[in-house]
Amino acid sequence: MADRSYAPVDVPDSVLDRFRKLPVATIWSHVVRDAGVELPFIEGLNLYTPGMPRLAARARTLRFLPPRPDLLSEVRAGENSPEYKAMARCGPGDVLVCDMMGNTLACVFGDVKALQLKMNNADGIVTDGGMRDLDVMEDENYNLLVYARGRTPYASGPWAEPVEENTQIQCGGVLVRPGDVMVGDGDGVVVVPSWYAEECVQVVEDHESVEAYVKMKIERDNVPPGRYYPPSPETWEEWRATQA
Amino acid sequence: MAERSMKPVHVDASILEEFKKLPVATIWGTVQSTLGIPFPFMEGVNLIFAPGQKRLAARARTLRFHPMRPDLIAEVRDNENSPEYRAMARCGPGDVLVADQQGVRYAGIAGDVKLLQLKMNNAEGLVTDGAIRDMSVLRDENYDLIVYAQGRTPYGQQPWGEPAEENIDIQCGGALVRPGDVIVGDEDGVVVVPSWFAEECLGITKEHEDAELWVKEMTVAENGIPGKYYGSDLMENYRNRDK
Repeated sequence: MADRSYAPVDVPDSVLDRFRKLPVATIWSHVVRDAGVELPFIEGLNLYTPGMPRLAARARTLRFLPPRPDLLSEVRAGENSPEYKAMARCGPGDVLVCDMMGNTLACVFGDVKALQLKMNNADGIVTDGGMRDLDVMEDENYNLLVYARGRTPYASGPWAEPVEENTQIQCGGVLVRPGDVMVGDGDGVVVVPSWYAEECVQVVEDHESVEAYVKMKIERDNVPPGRYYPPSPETWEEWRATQA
Repeated sequence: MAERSMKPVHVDASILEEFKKLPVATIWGTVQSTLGIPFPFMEGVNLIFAPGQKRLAARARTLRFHPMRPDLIAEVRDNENSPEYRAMARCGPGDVLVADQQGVRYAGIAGDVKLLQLKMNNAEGLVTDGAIRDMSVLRDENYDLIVYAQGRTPYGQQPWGEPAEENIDIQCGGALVRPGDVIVGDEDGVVVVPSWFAEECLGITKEHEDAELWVKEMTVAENGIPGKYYGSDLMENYRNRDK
């Protein structure tokens, strides 16, 4: 771990595809244990678009702050406002991640602004705030994965204004830096630092493979899981032999 | 309002002293109604300790915490040049450290050892939407700092927050805080006054307080009901009181 580089890397689609097959729970445990990130899971998020493919995408970040006239006069710039600049960075394999300061009533934006993500074929939206217009986005086939803390009819005001993009943010108590990999399933969303993504996907694939091997042995021998779980060094050796 | 400059200004100690005489509730009303700022009040941020019952009115020096991560820590931790110490170095008399701890109730921002820097600099105090630890030590060793927080905690920053950036725009308790803004506190809590509005805010709030005093006097004198003068036409009634 000491010799691991923390320089951000551009995670390729091939790695995202592999993450899509892995459970968030196992990814979470390795990010905590191997990468030294104590809180990589975004607490309190719900998946509002069931039935869609799994989330595994590079983070493009957007930060909200409470609005104030001086701040608004500085950041609002029509189509060059921060939210549009952030969405312009999102294409296939990218997800917009929003720091809504944890306010579940405040929504990042609805179907009109989100049209930019649809047109760019982005993967979706993750926010620690609320989400509006989900019915419209479903009816009109926006094809965006949405993780949020709640549904709401409200807009971002009066609580929040998009003020910065492509910066490090917090989302639901987790640090998200541009390019990090956001992986989601029914459990929720875990953040994998971009510099750890390739290593992580390999470790978790192995972990899942060992678990499948252990489950096979438990069922075959008709024993309590504790017989083989957690896997002993010997079981790991057995498993490795099966991989050769 | 159209011609008001919104450029940040340095707010003098004389203005801060005047703010200390005014209630947060009325200041909140002035900021909210005059500027249209919906949330200038920090929700959930409570008065923990005020040495000698003194009031808070001070210029904001800001510090932002982020969730911890090894790459972030490798970049920002720099011993005595770490962001928290740079932020506290900006705090002298008339200044208060305002820390965005992301609203995490039990995440401490600092204890008595680190806060020695604020004490040595004679800063006014600290305000955070996280928690304060070692409060008893601060009190017993006469740190003379006013403390507002969501509450007290034995915990440190780990694993919730690393002090990562300073002297920037932050949120604290749902209110925007920009460096140099005036932070005013009483037992109601804390309101943020934009630096460029501070002097004007003082004038409006003082007149409003005078009007309220007049309403109370009239109500008692007439054995009447506050609503006679205390409605949306309050200031008009007050200004025309001798006509």
